[in-house]
Amino acid sequence: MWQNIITAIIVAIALFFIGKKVYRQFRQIIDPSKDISCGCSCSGCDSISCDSKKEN
Amino acid sequence: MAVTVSVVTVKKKTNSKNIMSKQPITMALAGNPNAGKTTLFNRLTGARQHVGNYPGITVDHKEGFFSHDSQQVSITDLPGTYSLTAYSIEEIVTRDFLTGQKPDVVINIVDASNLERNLYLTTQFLEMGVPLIIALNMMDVAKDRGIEVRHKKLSELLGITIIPIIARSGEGTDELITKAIEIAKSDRNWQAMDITYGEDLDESLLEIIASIKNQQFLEDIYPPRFTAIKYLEHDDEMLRKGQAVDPLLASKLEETVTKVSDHLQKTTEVYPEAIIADYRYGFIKSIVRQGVLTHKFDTDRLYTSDKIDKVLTNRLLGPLIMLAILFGLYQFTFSWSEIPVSWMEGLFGWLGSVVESTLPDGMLKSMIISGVIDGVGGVLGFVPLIMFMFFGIAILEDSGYLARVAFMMDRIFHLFGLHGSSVMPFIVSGGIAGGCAVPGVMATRTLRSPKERIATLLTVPFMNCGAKVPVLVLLIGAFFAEHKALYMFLFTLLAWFVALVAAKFLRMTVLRGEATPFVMELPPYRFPTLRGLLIHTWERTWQYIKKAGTVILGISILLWALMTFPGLPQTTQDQFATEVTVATTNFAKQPDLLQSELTRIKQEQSAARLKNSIAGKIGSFFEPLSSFAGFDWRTNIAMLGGFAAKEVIISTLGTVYSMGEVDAEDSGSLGDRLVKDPNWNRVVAVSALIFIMFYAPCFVTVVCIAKESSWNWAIFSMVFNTVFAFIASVTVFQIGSLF
Repeated sequence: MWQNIITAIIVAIALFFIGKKVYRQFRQIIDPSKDISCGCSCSGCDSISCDSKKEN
Repeated sequence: MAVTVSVVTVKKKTNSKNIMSKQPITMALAGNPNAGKTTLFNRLTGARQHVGNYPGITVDHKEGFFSHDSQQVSITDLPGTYSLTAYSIEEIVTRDFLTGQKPDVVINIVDASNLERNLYLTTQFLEMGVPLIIALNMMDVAKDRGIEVRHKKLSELLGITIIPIIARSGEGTDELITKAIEIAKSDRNWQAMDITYGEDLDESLLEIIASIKNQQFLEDIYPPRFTAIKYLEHDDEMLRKGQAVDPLLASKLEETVTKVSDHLQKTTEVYPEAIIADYRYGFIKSIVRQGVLTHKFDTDRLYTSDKIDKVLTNRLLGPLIMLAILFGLYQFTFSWSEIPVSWMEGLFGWLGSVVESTLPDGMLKSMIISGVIDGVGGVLGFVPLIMFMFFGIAILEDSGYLARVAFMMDRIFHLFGLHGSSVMPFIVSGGIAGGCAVPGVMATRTLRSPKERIATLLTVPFMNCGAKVPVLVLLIGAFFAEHKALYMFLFTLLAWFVALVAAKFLRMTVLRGEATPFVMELPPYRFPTLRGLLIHTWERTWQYIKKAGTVILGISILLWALMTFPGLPQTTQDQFATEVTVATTNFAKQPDLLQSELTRIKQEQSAARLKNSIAGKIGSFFEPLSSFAGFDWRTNIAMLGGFAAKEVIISTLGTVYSMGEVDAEDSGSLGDRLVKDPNWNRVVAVSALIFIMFYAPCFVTVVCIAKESSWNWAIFSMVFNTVFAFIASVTVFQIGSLF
């Protein structure tokens, strides 16, 4: 039972995290003033992530 | 010196002066492409913006912050430009930033080894009247070439401060920033400099300036003389702005320009813009000939770079050397990474067995072993390989060889209806392997022709980006282990071939149009520094690790959930329970047979559970179609997951083969599992490789294409690529299955 609860929490966190990433990618298109990409997290991608932007 | 750095859109500037203010001083870095702006930006801010020894790295502007002697500074790295006339997006971005944001000081990075050409942009800054300081960069390169620049004399003649620096080593940068802050804080009234452009143009200039002043036409943005010069240069952006502000006066000015242009055509057969360029160069020559520039060596002497280029960019030898270097890169990557990759596989195998023996059976255990260790572990297992490959690419990039690749590919690109500027987006996207399609798509901004731009941004996702590389390596390593480097090399060439043919197809159909000419500057060869190579390698490897530990981990967990739920119906579970009871009864006195029977039942139950899951049902739904390409329902799940990010193909295959009928404990690496699986063979592997290389770009790339063009083109990209990839895979599988 305890394994099921922890698993459910982890899946929910993963869903929230990925959902937020997807939302931020779409937000760039909806808001044209954000002319610099939020980044794709890939090797070789120079665009910084939205999280780093927020930190600064 | 470095405090913080970020890359954001520039904030609005206040009008207050910065003296004794907490408001940071705003600086802009501007100069020719490949003059070292991003290198200086990174050194000042501690940022790790990508720097390459080839032009056109910075398309957008990037802002960073640092403090110098307790003074906060906000610095913006502008795209490299040769002029301030709106011929390309870089020039528009730079000019709009300088006029719109009005930085407190502009640091003009000038390449000392190409002084005259670099000063062409400087003259335009002077004509704009922006607060200016020159950072005379690459003094070491100039010295090696026997060029001596008397910067004090040049400073005296231009009337601006000049600080010699070497951005790569940081020499002179402290003094540069100290002086730049002084200029930013000073009350100097920066006046636009007047350069004479000959009798005809000067007369017209005076006439245009008078009209501009009279109506205060665009005066809030540009100095009147600058506006007048841009009108004479037929600057499209300026003409557009003029029409928007005051159509009547704009039309009058355009008439004046047409009149003088016609007159010059009749008398000298030259357009005003050519005369303006000639006079600017004349002005520069008059400056440098006053003892500013001396060549210690014979000026006709071939520089080392030119000598190397005689061989490396030779029409016949060049392409052969390029192919040899590419093959050598893969050979180096595979041979050096083989042992560390096996260590990583061992590490994740050990982790799996620790969890297996520590945790009791249950959901969490399944998620950690199948979703995390076998899923994400499969992606992380390739870290050593990725690291070696990035090291090799960093050598090519830092030395300046990648620019030569672009130069040589330019000839081929024209045959396929693409612009020479398209080459760099292809390389950035993974033309040599290991890039990323997102900056590749964004780099197409440098293309002026909209049709060439769309054709390029639709075809750059065909390149083997850093996310596809581990997938290719997995399949090549599993099915073609004896010739890994050769197959990787051949699949890279195939990616280029398909991308160019697709571009030609687009240019002949929906994007028909003439190819525009292209001139490319070849930067000098530089000996890469070990520090630079290690930084570049680590930056990219860390990005790979970080993505695996965040995005890929998140997606793997979600896909594991989709592969686990809703589970088997109670009736089916009861059937398997009955089978277990029967087996236990029948083989009670034969423990070996009992064990084998119980394992078989367990595997069948796992496979049935997976097939009954949400992901399993989706995979099975596509199986009747995908079987034409040799893909079973499990491969379909991985391919669908790959739309989120290509690495997910590995993590999903890892999870699928861990949860399914194969016993994770004694089945070895994912590659081994695929080789043992009856649904996989060499033909299926090639078919899968082709599909993975060419089907729909990942989600982030699709969004980027939509942002850079439109959703119609983004959807077109997904549909076109997937249909093409499927047809190619089916062809390969059907023909391959005949033999």
